[in-house]
Amino acid sequence: MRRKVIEVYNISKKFRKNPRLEPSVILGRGHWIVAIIDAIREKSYEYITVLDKVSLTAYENEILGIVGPNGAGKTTLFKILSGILFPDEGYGNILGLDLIKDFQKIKRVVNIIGTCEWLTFYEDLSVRENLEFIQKIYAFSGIKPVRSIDRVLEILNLKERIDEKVRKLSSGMRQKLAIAKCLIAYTPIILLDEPFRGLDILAVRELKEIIKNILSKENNTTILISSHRLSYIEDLCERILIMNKGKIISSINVEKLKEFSKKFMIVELEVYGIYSEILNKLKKIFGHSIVYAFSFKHPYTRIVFRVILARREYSISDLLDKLSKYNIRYLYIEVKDPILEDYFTYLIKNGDR
Amino acid sequence: MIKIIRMTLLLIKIDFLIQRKYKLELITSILSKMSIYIVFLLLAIFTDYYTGMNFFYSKFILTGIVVDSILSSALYIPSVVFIQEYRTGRLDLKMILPLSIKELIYALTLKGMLWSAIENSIFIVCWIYFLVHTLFKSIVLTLYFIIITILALYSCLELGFLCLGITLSLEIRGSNPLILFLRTFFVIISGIYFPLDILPAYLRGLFLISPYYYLVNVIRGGEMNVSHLMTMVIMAILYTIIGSFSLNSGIKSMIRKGLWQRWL
Repeated sequence: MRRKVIEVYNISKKFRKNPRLEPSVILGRGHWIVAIIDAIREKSYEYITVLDKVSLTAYENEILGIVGPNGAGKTTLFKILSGILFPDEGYGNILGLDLIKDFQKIKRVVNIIGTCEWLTFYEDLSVRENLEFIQKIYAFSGIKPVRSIDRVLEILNLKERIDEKVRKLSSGMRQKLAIAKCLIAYTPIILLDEPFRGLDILAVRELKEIIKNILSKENNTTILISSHRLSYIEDLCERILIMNKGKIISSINVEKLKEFSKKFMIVELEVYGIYSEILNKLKKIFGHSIVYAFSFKHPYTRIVFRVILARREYSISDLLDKLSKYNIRYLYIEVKDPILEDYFTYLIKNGDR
Repeated sequence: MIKIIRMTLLLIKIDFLIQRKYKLELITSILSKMSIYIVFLLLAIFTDYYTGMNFFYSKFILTGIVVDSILSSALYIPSVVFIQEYRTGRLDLKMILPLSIKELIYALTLKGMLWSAIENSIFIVCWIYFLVHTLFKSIVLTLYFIIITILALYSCLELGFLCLGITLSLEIRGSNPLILFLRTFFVIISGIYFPLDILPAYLRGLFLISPYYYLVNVIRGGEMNVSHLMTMVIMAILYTIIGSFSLNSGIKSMIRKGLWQRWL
């Protein structure tokens, strides 16, 4: 039985809906007036729930994926788990450290790579100088480096850029530099918030290898990865949690996906016609089972529909009959097994209804 | 404490690395700091010249400027360095590294004090001149002078943390008016630029709470006063309590609201 390293129960977080007032450019010194007005009006502001009673558990040396559309609450959850944001309600602990009481100590065991962390580096310093700065701060806190800066940059294929200033690096390279933070020093937990953002396909593959082989296997770290694209993390994670509107709506593992594949099938068809007309016709046939529709910008063009159907309810001949009954002319039709992305869309659509 | 000092040294090294091509910035900052006070000094010199007062006003104003410049810097530093870190986006990186925010604020403040010492170098030279001057009178008085300076600086730093706590709680991303208010208030009640006698009677007793008063009093040739020292110690303890309370609640508010994160 693996040890639980993260235990979080019913955590909620609300943020103010109204945007913060900003002083005008001309009266730029009015920050304090704005702040006081803000503080007085604070109670009258509306709040939106970003996290709604989220509970999760992560085990030692596990790679746990968190997937959800934009605004699902993934980043907020990661901020709470890394001790840089307090939850409004709920409680939890990370390796026995309380989320609120021990928020300072949590940073010693959790390493977070933020969504736009590459913007936080010293742009006027070189790659080596930035990493030396990070390494020294870890050393001050008693966390010994596990790899040299040269070795880390070798792993990340950035060795040639070691003496270059960060401002000269591309966004993808800066993202790699952010990952370097995890490779320098060992922390038992790593939170990767959208780590594949801004990376090309080759870099995504490289990073996946690093996460799987170096961070997880060599370092024995518990890794939580968030992404809005399931395809990026489905082959990395043992378990995947699906978040939508601040809630964890499902937890998937390989078994669940197999079960889903048995129950459902995917029909992909390419149709030529007016988007809205065909969508209405397909809705009459399939109801809410349409998971994905893609058309080019021109309204009268080819459209690709992806439909989830229960295997028992439809046979291929039924399907073809219904399409001809509604006078839908398709360019091609294909029946496929569902992938995780379909399951994810299916869950989110069912949650909306 | 060692961790804070090591962190400060690291931050200073980073500043040197960043500013390696901008050494002129230091000279311009010294000059800009001087320019604020130069008008005061010129006015005092002209007044002395026309009234034949043998540099009486000039000395009075110069001592006032030295105290105002050094202590006001301590009052401003915590908020200024923190907001600067936030604006450049470097606060995010430091917030997620294994540092406590309080340690980070202390390290940033220490670093800010070093830069401020360079900015105030001319006034510090003046302070050393006054210190040497007391040395001719007695060593005890010199020690008293040093202790009063340390206590005054410490009190102003704690008041600076009080202001920073309010800055963090209210999320004031620009200059905090409380700092300007405190500085002006202390300058008025301590007789920095004019004698205390011209103040109305109800304001005269307020100098007790002002760290500015005690330092300017010693610099202007005041004798050793144990009751002053005791009052300063009590005030320093009081400022420490309210300063750390304000800073702690500011940090908690900052983490609860999550508003001081720029890129994360």
